Amino acid sequence: MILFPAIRPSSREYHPPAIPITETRSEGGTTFRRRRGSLAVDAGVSLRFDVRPEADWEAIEAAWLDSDCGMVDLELPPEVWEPGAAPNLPGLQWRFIPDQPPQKSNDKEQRGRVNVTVELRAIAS
Amino acid sequence: MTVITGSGGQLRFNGTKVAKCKDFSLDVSRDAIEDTALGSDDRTFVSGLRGASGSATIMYDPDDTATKSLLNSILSDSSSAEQVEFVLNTTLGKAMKASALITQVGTPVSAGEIVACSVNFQVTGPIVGTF
Repeated sequence: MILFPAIRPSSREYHPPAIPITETRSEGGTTFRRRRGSLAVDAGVSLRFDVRPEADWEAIEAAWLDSDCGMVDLELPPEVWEPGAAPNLPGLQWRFIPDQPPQKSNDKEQRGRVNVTVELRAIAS
Repeated sequence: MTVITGSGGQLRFNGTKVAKCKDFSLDVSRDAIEDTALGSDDRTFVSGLRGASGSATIMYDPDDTATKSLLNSILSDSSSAEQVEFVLNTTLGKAMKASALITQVGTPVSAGEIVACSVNFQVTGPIVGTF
């Protein structure tokens, strides 16, 4: 378990987990839905950290590398969820998404500070 | 301690005093970049880039080299900046020196009035000097 840095994001987008369902439609127009499991999975959260010092990026990058690029579970500190509380996700663990590493952008207006975006997904592990 | 007046001020262009400068101003500003995070009740900022611009009103004196040089610089095709020195007070030696681009020259001509040209500067790079 890797501890994600305790940095409050500038913005956050969260979507709750969902039970995998496949949907088919008959020739008559009737829709059929079939559950593909019993556990709601794949909650997601997008975090944006604006105008942060370079040290914050280094901490996030270190967490990414320490997690083996998404192979190890993450513990998200309360700061990530402020001013609210962390969602209750029984059976799920937060991880980086392997093909979506954290991203850093620099802007000349920010005099060395950086903007960082992070994508995380809660999966059953 | 006393305050100073503008009578001791001086505008220098490429090291030479502009003979008849009526007034000048130098505006220095710095951006404020918001870094407020979720959960904050108050906005927070960090300092961003500094920039400066200036303006001056110069009475047209065709015999003054600095005046002519300054006014003609707007017509030059050169892309290089000029050296402009804003002297707050010659006695106290208080001055701000910077490289600047001349971005505007206005030449209003009215019967019965002196020809006073308005000049705008855009400072490029740092300003040397203190208040």
